[in-house]
Amino acid sequence: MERPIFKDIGTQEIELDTPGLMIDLDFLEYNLNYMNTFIESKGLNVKPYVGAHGSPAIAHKQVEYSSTSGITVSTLGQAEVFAQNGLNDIFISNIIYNKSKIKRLCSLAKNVNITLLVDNLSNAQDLSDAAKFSGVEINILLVIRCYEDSLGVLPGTEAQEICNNLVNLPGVNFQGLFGKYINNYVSESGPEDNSYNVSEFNKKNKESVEFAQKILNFREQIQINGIDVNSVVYGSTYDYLDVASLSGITDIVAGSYALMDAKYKALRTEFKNAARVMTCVTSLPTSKTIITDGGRKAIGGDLGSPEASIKGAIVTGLSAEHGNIEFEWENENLKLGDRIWCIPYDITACVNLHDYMFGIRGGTLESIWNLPARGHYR
Amino acid sequence: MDNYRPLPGTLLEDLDTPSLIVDLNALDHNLQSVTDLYKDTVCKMRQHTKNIKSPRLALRQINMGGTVGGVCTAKLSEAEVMVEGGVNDVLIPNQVVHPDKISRMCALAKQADIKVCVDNIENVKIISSIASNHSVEIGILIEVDTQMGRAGVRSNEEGVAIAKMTQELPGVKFKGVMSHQSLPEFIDHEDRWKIGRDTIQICLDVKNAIELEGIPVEIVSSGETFTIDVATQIPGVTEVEGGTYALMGHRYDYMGYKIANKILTTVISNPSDCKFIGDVGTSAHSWAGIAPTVYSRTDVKIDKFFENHVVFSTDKANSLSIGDKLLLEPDYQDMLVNRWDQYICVRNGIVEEVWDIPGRGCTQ
Repeated sequence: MERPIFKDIGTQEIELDTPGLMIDLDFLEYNLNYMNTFIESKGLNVKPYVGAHGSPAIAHKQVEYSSTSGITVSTLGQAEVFAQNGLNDIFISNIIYNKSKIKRLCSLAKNVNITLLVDNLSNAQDLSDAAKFSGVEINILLVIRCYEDSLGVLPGTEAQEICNNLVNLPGVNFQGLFGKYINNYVSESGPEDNSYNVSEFNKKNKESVEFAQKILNFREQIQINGIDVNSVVYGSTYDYLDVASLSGITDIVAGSYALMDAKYKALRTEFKNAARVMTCVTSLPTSKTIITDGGRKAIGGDLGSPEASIKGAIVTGLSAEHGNIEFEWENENLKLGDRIWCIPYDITACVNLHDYMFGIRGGTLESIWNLPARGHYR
Repeated sequence: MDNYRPLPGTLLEDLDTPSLIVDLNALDHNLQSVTDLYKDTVCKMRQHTKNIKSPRLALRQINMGGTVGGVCTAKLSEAEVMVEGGVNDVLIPNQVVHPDKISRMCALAKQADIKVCVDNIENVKIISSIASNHSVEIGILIEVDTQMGRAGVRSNEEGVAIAKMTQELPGVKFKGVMSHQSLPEFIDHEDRWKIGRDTIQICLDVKNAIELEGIPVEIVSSGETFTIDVATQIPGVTEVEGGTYALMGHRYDYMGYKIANKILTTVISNPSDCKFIGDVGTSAHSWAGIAPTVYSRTDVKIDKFFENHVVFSTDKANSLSIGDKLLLEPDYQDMLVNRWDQYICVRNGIVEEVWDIPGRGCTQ
């Protein structure tokens, strides 16, 4: 667990302990309001991906701002934690295979509306058997596969056959289709693909819309064959704007918009960077270099480098426990103990390192939120 | 915080996934190697807990032998966890500069022998003043930058000036010098020994300069896993801050320790003939540029990691099935351990114990 020095509400931000995850509450509320107003104007729903902040407090705000009660998580363990914290309509954007997990899922479904992904009929059969045995209903979305190596099935005869079977299975309630085109990944050939590059942005968005259209065409086809499709769940903060204009999409899954991060900063300028890790200058080795107490374990560096929030300062290295920051000018004014804020590259990776977030308004501490779903990978 | 506690006797293949597994045979082999290596040497191990985050695991090495009887920790909060867990000698090879944190460090010094590294005279003055108010004494080591370009003094003169100042101030006791090198790859064995010797020599130069001023230098704390053996051959080095060696990552295979930490994952989808999806991603595994290795399956490669999934590719179709479990051996384990709340300790495929990881997330 993080062990910060806790201070009274009303304390100035710079007096708080470092490294600490600071949330600008005005910016957060602005982002939630912006997204919900837009999505509602399109007649759609947001199913916010709460893994992008990890906070039940923010999840409740998201529900409050929107017209639906639904949230999205990525594991059963996270669903359990958010359910215990009062969220009652949870979409687990994942496949649950293991039998003991399926039992936990059915137990959860006694109190909470659960939606889950499937891409395989034998898995659906297991879910059906367990749900029937427990006397619960589990909502199912079929994942449509967009790459050779992602979850899901291609829109075609195999998918059609799974749908035909799903509608007849007891205990599971076939709701519709799910797809995700924009998906962060890392591989040995580089930190990830270049989708977060401004020049690639329009191209990627276009591809995502084309893929969404394939899902919508498939929906039409199965509807002609007599299958009801209530939901088509799709999208992310990256592509929500283009996707929301497609007729037939019902729900947008987006997460990063709430707190934002460095990778989306130049691409989604309608949202404000609400999350920053406050770090402390611990060493001043040269007049242009500082070392801080915020490294990969505090800011996250799996997917890319954070951005220092001082103009002309660049995070040149992030080791496990330290940050190296280089300045364009001689930094005569900086002293040991001074605060430096860093915008994490990927917000989901960053919040997974923290147990607390500190809500700041007008430069002072307004709230301390815990992140109880952290580490629930199962 | 997760709290998964399978019963002792549970079979490895029956564990829920993803899980962080510790192979106790491999761990004990690694700890015993250090005990044996340092049995008759001046230089001893001061295990770095940033890589293990568990006082229980640290005490296992201390009890086995070959150590200085203490540990070093990345941060003050990690030091608190180690002291609470029963370790009573802690070096923080890092700078503690904010007055709040220094106060907290002084409170900890009432319970245990606490030493910290400095590279700045002003920092020593503040530590002295706060330690005096708390009526405690903080041990001071001077961090020397040997080649990392990170923290640390960059000349003998700077080191001497800080040592002299420390000698004069109350509440602080000058103990020695410390340096850390970070070099994951070496061309060959000789290269490793040469670089190890050369970099540690920079730290020894500062020590010698301080001693020329008549100030005794009790501790020369050096290093990391790649100099565990090198340091024993360098007169003057009193301790090595080895971290990775206990649980290991493939990056340091040349050291001969065994991979003790592994991630157990289940195949949950088979999108195309030779592609399979496992239920662990970057959030649980971490990523530092090189993919983990799949234990005992040379035919299974890791293509990529998503946030919550890993993509495996196989040489032949149908060589995995949905539901199969695989063990991933990390290239780099420091960031991986820091994502987890428990070690599921397994010996010969059977769960023996579950250890908490209370230092997880201790970045403050």
